[in-house]
Amino acid sequence: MNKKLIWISSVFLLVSMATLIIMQAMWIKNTIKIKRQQFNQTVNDALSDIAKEIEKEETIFYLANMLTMQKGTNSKKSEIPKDKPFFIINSDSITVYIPDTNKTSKKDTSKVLKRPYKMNIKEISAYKELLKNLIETEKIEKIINKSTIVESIVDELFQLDISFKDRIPQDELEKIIKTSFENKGIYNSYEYAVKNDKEMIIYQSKKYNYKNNNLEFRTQLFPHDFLSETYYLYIQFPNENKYLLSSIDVMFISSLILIIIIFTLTGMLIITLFKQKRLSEIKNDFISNMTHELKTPISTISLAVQLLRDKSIDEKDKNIDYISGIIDDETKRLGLQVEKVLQMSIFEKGLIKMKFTEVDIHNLIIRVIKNFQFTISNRNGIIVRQLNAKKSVINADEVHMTNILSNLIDNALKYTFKEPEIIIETYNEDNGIVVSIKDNGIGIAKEHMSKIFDQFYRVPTGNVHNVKGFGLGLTYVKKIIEEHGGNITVESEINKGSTFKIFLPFSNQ
Amino acid sequence: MNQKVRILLVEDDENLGQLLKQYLTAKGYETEWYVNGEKGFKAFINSFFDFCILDIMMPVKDGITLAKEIRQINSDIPIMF
Repeated sequence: MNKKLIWISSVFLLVSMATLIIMQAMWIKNTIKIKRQQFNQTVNDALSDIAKEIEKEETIFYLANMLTMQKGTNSKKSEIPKDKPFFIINSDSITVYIPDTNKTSKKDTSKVLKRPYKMNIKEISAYKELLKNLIETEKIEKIINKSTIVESIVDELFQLDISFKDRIPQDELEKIIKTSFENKGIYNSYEYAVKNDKEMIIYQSKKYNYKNNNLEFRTQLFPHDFLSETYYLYIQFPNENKYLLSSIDVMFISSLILIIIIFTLTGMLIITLFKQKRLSEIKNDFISNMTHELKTPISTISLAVQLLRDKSIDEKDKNIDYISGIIDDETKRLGLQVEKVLQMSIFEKGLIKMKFTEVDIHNLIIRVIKNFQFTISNRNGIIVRQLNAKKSVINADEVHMTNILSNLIDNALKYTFKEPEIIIETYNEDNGIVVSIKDNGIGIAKEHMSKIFDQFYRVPTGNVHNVKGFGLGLTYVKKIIEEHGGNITVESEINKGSTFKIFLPFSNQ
Repeated sequence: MNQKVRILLVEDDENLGQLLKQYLTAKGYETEWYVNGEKGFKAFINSFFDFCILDIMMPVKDGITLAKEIRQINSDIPIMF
């Protein structure tokens, strides 16, 4: 998979995911819209129920009133027939008498209703039943005589001065609203107000908001009263949006979680893809590099053997000592290279063991420098020691520490093509020691700086190999330093040189 | 035609280069050995060769580049990597 393809598929993946999210959002929005419509419908139904219910109650009351009037409003208590239900209407109350069929006391069978009356639903149905019985069983002609009723109703209709408060008390209204809403399955909080057509408030709940900008429902009360004043019932749902959202919260939250998961995983996938791509490039480089490095000694040895065995060449041309020397050299080189790769793989698996002892870094530096003295003076170079650290003894693995110092100095020499000038400096810092190794070599370009510690990474130079290597040295250095609880940093400028700084704590525990 | 075949050998590894030169010389070829592509190219311009043996990975100038440059000057000469 080449880089372009990875890019294209990543972009496609992201675009399709974005589309999916937009679709999901639209879907949720649509659901909210539908829910809102449903809710509005339900509320409107409930409101018309309320209006009907209020009217019905008034009618029942009115009919009850009428019945009683027909039965004789002014009749005295003694004249009350004991076997038939009837009402007595006074200015402020209605007394209902239910026939005492069980011969119980009168108290149990009568009920006094205060006007404005307070009836619950049960009572209303009781009254309805009562009225039906009265009409059916008694067959009072005057009651059935519709003209009388109509006349009375018309009379009533012309009583324009009856106030709304007299027609329905506030608590009764509240009860009706509550019951109707519950019947429709609306349980969220609401505020109500009753206003007349001049926007004057007659009743209102405590938190009714005059300047409410939210959705407000309105219905006309007593819609069949065409002569009296018009009254409107207003209902607000202050938490309507919250309610609508809460009705889809499971869907919303699960979508959100899924989107987050998918996004995270996709991100990880793309990052891994690029990492893998880079890794495979590095591995390829390493393999071609390693094949070359390993092939050279193998070719040399096989050539040497071929030369020795070639009978067409004169024995005196075959300088046996020289050739066997070469074979020996190359075998050793091959062994070392294989060893390096093997060590790295052991290191990878974390099988390496550290043997921590007290090590004087200054002594170590002096010893390592001695090994390089010959090479440096051969190249007319100098190596400068500035061992300024007051405390130079640390807890470290001596062998690995020697290796990393050799490695870094070797690198400094390998990547310096002019006369080398290497400065090794030490100083104490933050409960540890800093060793800095500065060279005047070719330097490292910024874009490669972060990668030089990666395994197998070598600053790419194509087939031009000025410096031999596998790209393992700095990886090893970094790992060992990390095992010691320290860190390594690099500063570099192209063609001016590089400075590697190692920080090692006195104690890595 | 008694003239010896001249071979241009470009190889950065000291041992291999040395040995190869010795072998080819013993085999009766006149061999010139250079350690990098740049030096090899200069030698190629300055004298005549019948045959080229090149390494690929070398300092300064790699074998492939060198071969391309040689081909521009001489399109017939055999090149071996």
